[in-house]
Amino acid sequence: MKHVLIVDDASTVRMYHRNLLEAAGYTVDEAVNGIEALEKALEGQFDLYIVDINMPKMDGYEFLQQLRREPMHQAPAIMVSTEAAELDHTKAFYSGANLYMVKPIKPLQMMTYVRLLMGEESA
Amino acid sequence: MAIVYSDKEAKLSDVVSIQEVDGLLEWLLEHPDATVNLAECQHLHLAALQTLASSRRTITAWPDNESLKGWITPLLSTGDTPQ
Amino acid sequence: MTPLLEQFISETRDLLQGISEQLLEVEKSDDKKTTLDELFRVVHTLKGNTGLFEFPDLTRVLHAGEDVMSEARENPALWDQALTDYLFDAMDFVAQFCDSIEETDGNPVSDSALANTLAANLRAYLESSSQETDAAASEPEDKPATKKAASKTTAKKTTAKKKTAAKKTTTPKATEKKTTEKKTTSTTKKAPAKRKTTRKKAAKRPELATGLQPLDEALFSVDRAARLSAWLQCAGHEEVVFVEYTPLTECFFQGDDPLHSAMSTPGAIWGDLDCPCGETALADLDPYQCVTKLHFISSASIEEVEEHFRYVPDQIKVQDISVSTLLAPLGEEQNDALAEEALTALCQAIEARDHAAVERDIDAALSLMNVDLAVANVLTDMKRLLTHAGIDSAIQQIGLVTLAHYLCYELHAEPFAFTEVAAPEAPEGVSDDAVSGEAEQSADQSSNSDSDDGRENTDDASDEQPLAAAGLEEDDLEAMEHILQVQRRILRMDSDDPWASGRVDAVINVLINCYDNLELADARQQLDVVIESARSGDIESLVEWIEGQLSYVPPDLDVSVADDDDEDVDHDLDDDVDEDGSSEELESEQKSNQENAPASSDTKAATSAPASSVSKPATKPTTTAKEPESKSTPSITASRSVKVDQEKIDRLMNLIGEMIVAKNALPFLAKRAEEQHGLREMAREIKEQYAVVNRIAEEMQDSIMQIRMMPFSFISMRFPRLVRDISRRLEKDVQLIIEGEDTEADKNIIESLAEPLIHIVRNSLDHGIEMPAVREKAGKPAAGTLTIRASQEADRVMIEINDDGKGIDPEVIKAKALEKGLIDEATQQRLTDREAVNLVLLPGFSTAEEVSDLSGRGVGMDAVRSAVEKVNGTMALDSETGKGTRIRISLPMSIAVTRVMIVESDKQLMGIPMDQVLETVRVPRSEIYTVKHVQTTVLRDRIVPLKSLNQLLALPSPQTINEEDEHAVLVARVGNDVIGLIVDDFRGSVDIIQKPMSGVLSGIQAYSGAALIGDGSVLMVLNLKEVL
Repeated sequence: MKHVLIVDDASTVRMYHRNLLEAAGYTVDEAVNGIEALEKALEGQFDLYIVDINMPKMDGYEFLQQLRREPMHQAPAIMVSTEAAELDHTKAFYSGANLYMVKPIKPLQMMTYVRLLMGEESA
Repeated sequence: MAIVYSDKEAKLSDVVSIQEVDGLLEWLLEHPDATVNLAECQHLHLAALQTLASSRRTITAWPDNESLKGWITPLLSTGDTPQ
Repeated sequence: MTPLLEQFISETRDLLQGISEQLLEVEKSDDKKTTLDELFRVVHTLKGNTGLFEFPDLTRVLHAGEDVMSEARENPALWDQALTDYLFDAMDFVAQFCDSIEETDGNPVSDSALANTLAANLRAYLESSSQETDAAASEPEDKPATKKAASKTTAKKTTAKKKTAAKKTTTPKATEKKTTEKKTTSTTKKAPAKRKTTRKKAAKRPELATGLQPLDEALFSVDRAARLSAWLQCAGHEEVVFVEYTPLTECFFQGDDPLHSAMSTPGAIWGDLDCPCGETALADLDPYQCVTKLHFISSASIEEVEEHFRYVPDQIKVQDISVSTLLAPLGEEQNDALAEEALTALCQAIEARDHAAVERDIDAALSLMNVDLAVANVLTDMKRLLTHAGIDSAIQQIGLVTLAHYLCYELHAEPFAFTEVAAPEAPEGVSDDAVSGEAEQSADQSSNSDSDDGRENTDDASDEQPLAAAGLEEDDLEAMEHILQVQRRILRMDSDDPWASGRVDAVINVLINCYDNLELADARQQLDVVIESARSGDIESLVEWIEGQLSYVPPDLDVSVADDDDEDVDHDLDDDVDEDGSSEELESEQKSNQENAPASSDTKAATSAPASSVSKPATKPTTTAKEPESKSTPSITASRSVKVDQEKIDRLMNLIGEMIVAKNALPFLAKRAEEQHGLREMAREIKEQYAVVNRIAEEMQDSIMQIRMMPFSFISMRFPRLVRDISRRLEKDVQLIIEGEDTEADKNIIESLAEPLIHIVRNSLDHGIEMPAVREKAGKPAAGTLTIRASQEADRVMIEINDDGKGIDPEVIKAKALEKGLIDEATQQRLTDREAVNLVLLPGFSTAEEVSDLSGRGVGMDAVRSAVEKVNGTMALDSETGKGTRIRISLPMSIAVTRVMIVESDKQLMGIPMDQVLETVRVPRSEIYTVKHVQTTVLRDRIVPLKSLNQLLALPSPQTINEEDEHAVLVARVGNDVIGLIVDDFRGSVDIIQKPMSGVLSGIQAYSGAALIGDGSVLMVLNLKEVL
């Protein structure tokens, strides 16, 4: 069972991702900010992180920078944001994201990436 | 006032805002043979420009402001305008 | 409705509340920056959510809001009341939209016009503030829709720096692009063959960006003469941006001046107005309808132009074009329109700069030609160029040569070999896709020229590209190319950050996963080899391997940007370490850095990190201990509150109600054990047991009540906005003070209080507080004060609303009450001032001279009073003319449990709410007097009218008297009156859970409800007010 951690402060967005991922047979856990995400990430084993940028308490950049310091938790991370500016891409990759997607997410595109990064699950 | 009206000519200066459009339209209707002087006009609201375009008046002087002149001349020079 | 949509609505409402609070906070706050940051974040989240659905209007409004917030965040001085108003309007729209989604089950009715106006208001606000800075000299009065904003000019004059700050994000990319474009054009002519191949590759390029918009039509719709003048003005540029701007017809009403917007576009070079007004008679003209379409050219980048028009993105079409495209001909094709010899002669004349010959040749050719031909157009342009006054001869020559190229192309002739050609572009490929084709070419070209070293690899390996040749599905291939591009980019970031090795590991995992999942065994084997070397520090071979996999290697966009950014982030990192870095963590990072990436971990990491780790424990000994706490607390708090369905709490409430009733049976049981069965010991034990159960039940009830308790702030938080809106509309200046916001009461009470309080506040603002000028004249401060204070007194909640307005004139009230027949003249004389002002609480009383749109909606204070009384509350009004008005509302803390006095009358038990009971007395029959047919008695020197409960309830039997010839009299307060109720006997007080009457009984007004009591019987609770 492939396990995904969704990190976003917007419950609607979390639900949206959850619906997509669960429909494809993946299991999902959620975190509402970087701090909670880091705790969950370190406690569990995830095969993919989907991370928002703008969050209270600890943002997505900081979360990834912290996460990438943990040798045992280097699963791919997709950063998701509404900012298309080039600088954000750079900062995302610099912080440890492996892909950057601009909202609104196109489900098909998202799921293609997810499938490539984690493999298929039988729904 | 950005527009000074006389019997024969409306002289536009500085920035002609949308508030002046009513007055301009009224004056143009009342003075069908009068001309328009834009020399000192720095900018005019598109609504004012549309009004001038519709009036097809002779422009006795184009704006000193080269940029504005470039933008509006083709539109307003439909009449028998001295360049 | 889908669960996602439900989630969306519920979250949106939460976010709106947050926004509302923050908005008010901004107005007050000294530290605007922090509040604005938070506000931006919430608006941003909200907007992000809307992107998941197809609600364009909603997104448009929120997008505008987000942009404004973003600007305001850069410069808090921008903030003012008008902006708050706009944002409030926008949030109201969002709230209504949500309601509509809910009502229509996901197909909301949307007022697009309103959405446009709201968005435009916000945008116009931004626009106006930047316009002012652009042209500080001119007064921006041309904005009817933004009168308020305009009046605030002074506040915004200080925002000069803002624009540049806001643009920072796009600038690096833009500059980059421009420089590469320049290179492109200079190399274009050299290698047409090479260009073709790159173009082909580009087609496969997994660029996820949207394609270029075809603008050809717009460009070619521009008059040829105008295009020529545009070309002339663009001389010296090679690539420019062509813009078609079609403003909304009603844009003037939104405060737009499209001409100003267009002319103030960064880098605007040339513009042309397509306006049909010349064909409209002046008398028929509606000058307030925008019917003009604007075409213009800018030397700035597309990004800068889009940034400038970001508030009307759907009204502009933007495209990079090469300047020579401006001269591209349009017209019918006819490749034999000009004889080859004539063409050659013309070209030679141009080459020789023999303008007289050129002109002669053109005239000759044109005289034989259909003027609609493309060739004729070119020739006409040439002639225009020749005859154009004051033209620079070099530019003239370039123009002629360019046109000659087009001419050759149109005639399908070999291009004439002009020497010393300064022509910006060969007109090759000019056809339907002239514009987009050329733009694309140059984009590709730029990548070539920029990434020469990267290209070497791909060029060599271009015949066999494993990934492209692997026979993947198109989607997968595209996605993979993108993934690989990005991973390459990440690997090329060589930095000494503590997480750099983790970043590389993540990339490796990405690669392994992808190739595993695609079952590309061969490539996977190669990958293992390079991964091995990457892990031992040779990242470059991994990068090269990825490049070998790619069909297209992009230029290194990062290098310059990333360097800057790295510095930036480095600082961030240092800060982080200061904040929460534990020394072990740092050391282990250090170690892994050295192990995994010795090549990249340079001296900086080796020297700076240990230094900080040493100094850390000394300077901040507490940080290590604090850290786990600070990390874990937020998530615990996050999971500590649970959203529970109201129904579940209600059920709990009912159960505890039954429990209390059941427990109340125990004393009855003890009594029976003792009296009927003579088991005194047993009775004692039951009573002991009862005490235990009673204590637990009470605690339990208390806890459950606590769940239902809500703070007063639940309603009071609406007031700041309400007061602000109303006072602004009335042009009054009002300061609102709210006290005791954490006073708690039952959810039902709090909720039932909302409407009456809003009404009272409206009344105070509308009729109470005077206009600032009037106040000053009366010697009061111009700003009125409205105080709303909640407090707890025993088991009741007191709400006090004070204003320092003009008060209520008792004489006016009396006169009005008389006029309306509410009182008679005798009463008028007798009433004290205090009683008089309380007349406004009577049904059908309204003091407003005129019915205003605020408070005079036909419901007066009597509606407020009845709402308060519905939840067993009372209210009283005090007023002093000229000084102000005070309204006091007293409410039970909970309506769930009512304490009632049980009385007996005609062998029936009835309950009377304890909060109405003043005292219970025994009155000797001899002390009951009949005054004017009313039975009365004197209690503590006060005459109390007496009523027989049996009589009131139309029960036939007379009230019984005890052995001492006394009546049992319950003294109760009903409204403002005190009366004595003659009953048969008292039975003590008891807590009951009152249930409203249902079914046929619900029509009986004499009882407010019924409850079960301990012995299992039903107790009817009297509604004294109705009974009397």
